[in-house]
Amino acid sequence: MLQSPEVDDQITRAAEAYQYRREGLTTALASHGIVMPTGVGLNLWVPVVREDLATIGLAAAGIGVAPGEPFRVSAGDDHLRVTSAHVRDHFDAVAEAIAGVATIAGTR
Amino acid sequence: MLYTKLLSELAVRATARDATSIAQALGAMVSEEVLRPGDKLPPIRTVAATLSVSSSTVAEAWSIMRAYRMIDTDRRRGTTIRAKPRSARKRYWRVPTAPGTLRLDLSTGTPDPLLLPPIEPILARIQSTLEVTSYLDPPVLSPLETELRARWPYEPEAIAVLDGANDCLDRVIAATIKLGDLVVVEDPTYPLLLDLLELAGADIIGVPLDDEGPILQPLALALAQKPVAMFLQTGTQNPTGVAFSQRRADAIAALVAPTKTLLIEDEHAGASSASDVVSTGTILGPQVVRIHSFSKTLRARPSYRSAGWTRRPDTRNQPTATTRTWLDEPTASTSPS
Repeated sequence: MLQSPEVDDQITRAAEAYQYRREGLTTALASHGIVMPTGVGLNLWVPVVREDLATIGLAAAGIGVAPGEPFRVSAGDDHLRVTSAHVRDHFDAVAEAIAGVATIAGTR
Repeated sequence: MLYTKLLSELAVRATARDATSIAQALGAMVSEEVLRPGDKLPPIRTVAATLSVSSSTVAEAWSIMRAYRMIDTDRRRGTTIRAKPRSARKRYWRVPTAPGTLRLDLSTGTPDPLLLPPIEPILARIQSTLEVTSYLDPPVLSPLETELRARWPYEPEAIAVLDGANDCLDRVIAATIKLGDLVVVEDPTYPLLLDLLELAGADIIGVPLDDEGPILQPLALALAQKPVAMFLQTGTQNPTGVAFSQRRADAIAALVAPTKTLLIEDEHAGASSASDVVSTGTILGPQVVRIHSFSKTLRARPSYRSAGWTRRPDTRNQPTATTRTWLDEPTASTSPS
């Protein structure tokens, strides 16, 4: 596979698609008030008020995301890890759902 | 648990009457929940008298338990069973929420299956004559090694092919990290890395990130504590999406060069990401182990993924040098054309 020009092309196209999806989702999130750098790769690190409540809220809407806690070494602000690589379209709907749970505060 | 019951259990279980046996007996009682977190252990003299061993033997057993973080000692409460240690893989398994049950699962961190190159045409080209004829053959097929070296950002001393970046991390940690070793990582970082380090008994220092990678000042402070190893995602950072800059890598290399710290570069995204190829290898040479995964670009399914791992044993003759090199997946990624 490493020697195949077709595979190289497919990998290049995949990388472009992942970056397009990232940009699509970060742009849509920004329009819903969540501003973050575009960055690179398969995942977005989205700041939220309460990651536990946000994760549950999104699951109720049929969207799975990872809470930030397992990723942190020491205490830090709440985040969700959102695999933007799997958001093929409907960026605004996904962003709206995320924005809708990002500010849930509850009482800790 | 009552002292008398604890002592009689211990007398039955610690058959060898040495420190290891006593510690193992207590460890078994903890995992069977005969002993529970907060339970107090009898004074060393009492245990020694009951088991007919010296106090120093019991003290040694206690220090083994302490090293494995199973007991705490303080002046007020004496020696007690510690709250359950965080189990291995706990973080890793906390990541997926409810696989398969959601309309849109964005918890996985995996590539989109529709964007992976089809493997069938490649498998169809595999020659059946490609056989392992001797266990003493070079561990990496030479066409594969040539390909990997051609795309490596520096001249590696040796290359091993393992079953994915997780396997590489596991083996590097097994070869280099001992109980109580200080290890530097990015904060936040990949949960399985933290699990493996915790399992190895490492003391972990997290370094925060900005938009070019780990921030230099806290990284320099962490290095001043003489960590054994530093694990950095020199490419695309999971989970933050930060793209490591070569400028930052060069600055970090300059800080690491005068130390004895081993730098492990985890390039897990490969060409799936828009990040540049970033490495400290040309500057740090033997202080670098670089992991390069192909699972995000070729296949994420465990049966197909493979990763290259180069190791350069450092000047202190790290046990990495003796770690076996493997070729686990010759079929998927190495078919010579």
